[in-house]
Amino acid sequence: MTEEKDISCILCPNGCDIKIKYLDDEIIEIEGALCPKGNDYAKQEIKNPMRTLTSSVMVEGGDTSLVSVKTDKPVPLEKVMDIMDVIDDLRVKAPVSVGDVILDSPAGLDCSIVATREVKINI
Amino acid sequence: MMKKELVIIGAGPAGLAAALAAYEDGIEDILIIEREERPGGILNQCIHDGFGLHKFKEVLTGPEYAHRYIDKVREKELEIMTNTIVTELTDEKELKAFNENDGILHIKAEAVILAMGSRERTAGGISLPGDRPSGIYTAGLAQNLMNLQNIQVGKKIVILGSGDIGLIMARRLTLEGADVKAVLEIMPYSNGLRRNINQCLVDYNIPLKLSQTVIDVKGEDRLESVTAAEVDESFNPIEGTEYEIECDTLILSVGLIPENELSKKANVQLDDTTGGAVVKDNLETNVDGIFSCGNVLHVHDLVDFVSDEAEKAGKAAAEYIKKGHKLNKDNIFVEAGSGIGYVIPQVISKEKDQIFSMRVRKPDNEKTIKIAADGKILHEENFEKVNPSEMIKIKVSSEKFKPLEKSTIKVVAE
Repeated sequence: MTEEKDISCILCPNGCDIKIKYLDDEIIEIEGALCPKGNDYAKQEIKNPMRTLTSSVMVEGGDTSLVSVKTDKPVPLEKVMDIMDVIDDLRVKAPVSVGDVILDSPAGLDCSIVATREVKINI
Repeated sequence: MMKKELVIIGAGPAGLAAALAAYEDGIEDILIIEREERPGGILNQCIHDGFGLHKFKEVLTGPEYAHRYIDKVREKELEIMTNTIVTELTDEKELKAFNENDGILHIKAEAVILAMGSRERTAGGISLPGDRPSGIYTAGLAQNLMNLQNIQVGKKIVILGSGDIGLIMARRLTLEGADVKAVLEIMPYSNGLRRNINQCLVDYNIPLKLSQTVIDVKGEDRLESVTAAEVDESFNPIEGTEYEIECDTLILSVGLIPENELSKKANVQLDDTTGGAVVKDNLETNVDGIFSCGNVLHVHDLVDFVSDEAEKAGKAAAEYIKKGHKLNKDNIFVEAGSGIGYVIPQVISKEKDQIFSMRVRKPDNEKTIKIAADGKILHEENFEKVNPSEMIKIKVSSEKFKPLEKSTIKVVAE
């Protein structure tokens, strides 16, 4: 049976409301997106929603106790909590620069955890 | 007394962008004053992504967005005085500030840019009923505690208000292991961006309860429960709909207020609706040489627009300093008419192309925004969807203003 879903695109502040009709994995109709990225997003949402995870990691010897981090690419939504479990146990030593890789392939996923702020050494 | 060409109050996204724009236009004698330990403002605690799509055409987290500006400010060697609080500002552009190292500082500026940002509406500010146990936080405070100080604020959470910070915190708390029971919104629609409802609530099965509010708060030392109820069209609780939610934490995401205490001291005229200054099209206030931009002028939904606005203020301040006198004759007043909450700027000159920033009063479909004067429509634009949470910007060419006789134009949504 064909299914229908309304999806709000999260890619940009336009937040397009996209209507998508599909049968299993096959897209029958898709409309409402202002740009092609929206269509791709909606298709991905049906198959396997992907999200960039942002969180923070404990820092030792820094001028702040946390460094904010993100996955360098979107990861499956259903794996987000697995990555959070890994992040909970992580410790990193100051200094940290923006873009520093904190950990490669968390929970066996094809992504890295990278720092999104700098942390200086605490003097 | 220390003398500076340009003093900028606040080193958040507005202050940093304003400083860089003024520098680019030839002003080098700049002092940015910041009360926190480091520049970046609220972006430092906004560790989620979604910033920079307009400005950099890529998705950045808050700290990354701030870093781009901080890096440039460092490169140009612009002075940021951190841990410093400005306590006085006069209409003669004299400031009093203090910090641990210098004690009290007296500064005289040729031009001042107000970039102090906004603060959160509190439990008192919304007359939250019931007890006052621990466990009641504003959303930004909870965000600060969690993201900067590594303090978990609670385990069983209710969020009142569905503004963006509240939605972001619903996800953040869930990721850190808390149980977010519900987000209550007194309005029949959310005040947050659509994409945040999707990726923060829908993704984690957090219910959004529209037309509901908190009518009681219970707890002796720590919060024990809140009572929620549905509200009618006048926002009064409907009898018989109340229910109790057991929780240890209540997060308030109920609006931001531009922080204009210093502006008032300098006799800057404020707009009752925005809570920010009344500004001309170059973002100059009624006080000669004092400019305003960012959330202290009006609360923005996107930092990208804050940066744009701040650049405009920075350029205008630079022009003011270089010319050393009143910049232009602004003589047309801009009014928000039916369906429109507010319009910025409130005063414009006929000579320049204008970009009006505005918010509609309520969400709607198929609306036309009309800019009219002398009984004629100068410009109109159609919108498929409008939402108070999403600021609308409309560009109008100066050609349209030139034939005007009357001194007021009106913006309406029909």
